[in-house]
Order: sequence, then C-alpha cells, then structure tokens
Amino acid sequence: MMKNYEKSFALRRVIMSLLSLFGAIVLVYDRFCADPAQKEAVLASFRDSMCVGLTVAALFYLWQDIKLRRNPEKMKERYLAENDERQIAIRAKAGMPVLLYLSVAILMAATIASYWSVTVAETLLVTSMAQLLIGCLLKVYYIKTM
Amino acid sequence: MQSAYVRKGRYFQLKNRIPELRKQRRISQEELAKAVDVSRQTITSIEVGKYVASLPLAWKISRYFGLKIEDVFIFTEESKEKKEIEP
Repeated sequence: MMKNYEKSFALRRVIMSLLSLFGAIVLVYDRFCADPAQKEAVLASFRDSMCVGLTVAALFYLWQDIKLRRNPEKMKERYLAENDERQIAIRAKAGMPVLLYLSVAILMAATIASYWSVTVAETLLVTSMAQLLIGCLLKVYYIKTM
Repeated sequence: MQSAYVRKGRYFQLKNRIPELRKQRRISQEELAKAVDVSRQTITSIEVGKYVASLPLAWKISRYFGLKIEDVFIFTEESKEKKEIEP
C-alpha cells in the first residue's frame, strides 16, 4: 500500500512541477514576448498575480512533498491521514478531488483565454471559483454531519 | 451510539459497543485509531453513530477487541416507524 502511495506521491510531484512550469512560462511570455496591447489588457495584472500565486503554491507543495519523502514516519502519518476512510467518504461526497483538478484546469484556461477575451476569461474564472466554493462548503457540511 | 436508516418502510438500527469495550479495556480513542489505521475523529464519529464503518474497518476493530463483528456492531431490523423507536 505504501508503495502505491509513493507512486501517487511521485505523480503529485510531477503535477506540481508542471503547474509551476506553466506559471513560469506564462510570466516569461508576458514579460518578454507578449504584444504591448496584451500587456496592458484589463486582465493582465490578474494573469500575472495568478501565475505568481500558482507557481509559488506549486513550489511550496513540491518542497513539502520532497521534505516529507525523506522522513518515512511522517510519510506514514500523512498516508494514514489521507487514507482515513471517513475523510475519503467526505471528499468523495464533496466531489473531490475531481472538482479541484477541474477548477485548476479551468483557472489555467482562464489565464490563457485572458490574452484574447476578457468575457471568456472572467466567465471561466467565476466558474472555477464557484466550483471551489461549492466543494469547500460541501466538505465543511459533511465534516459536521459525518 | 447508533445509526438509524429507513429503507422501504423498514427501520434499521446499527448500534456499536466500542465506547463500552474501550472503557472495559481502558483504551483511548487515539490508541484504537492508531491500531486500526484511521483518525481519532473517525472513531469518534463511529461511536456517536454519525458514520458507519466499512466492513474492513469493522473487521479490524472487532479483531482488535478479540471479538466477532456481530459482538461489536449490533444490527437490528425493525418494522416500526422511526418515531416509535427510542433515540
């Protein structure tokens, strides 16, 4: 079981690396390759802040995962916390982790869409935020009732 | 200490003796949780009847106490209405 967990941990590290890479690429593109019009677009500052936030968060989680990997005891504690059957049931009822992955994907799509259409980017942004909010509220509700 | 269900007009109750068995053996929730690889909150939820343990977890808990599942988890089926059953 721990071997499977280590595999999922490795996958998580890859996802975090890709997210930080995505944020870095968008930031570099914005600074050096984007048209002046795109740089001054309404959502340019949102795009920049979101990419910085995404990169920092992904790097932070990556660093935590790498640190945890060196400590087998803490890794087992984390494994038990993540694989607690009640927590799994709560997460499943709240639509996680699919909702979370989908929200991050929509957020990334909003970032890319902000180069061309403010309306599309804003719609995607609101959708993503609404999804995350509903997921969090459901999780809190089920934590209280289960 | 019990969970209640109504299925097709029938009323089911699932009680458990975990708090009683813990007290007898002087085991804390934390110790039991560690022994069966779940969180303390899960044990609390099972004890108060908010959460129904899965079959593998029920088996682990029963084995920890050295008893059969049916000695720890008591499942009763009653055809009465929910209102008539004591909480």
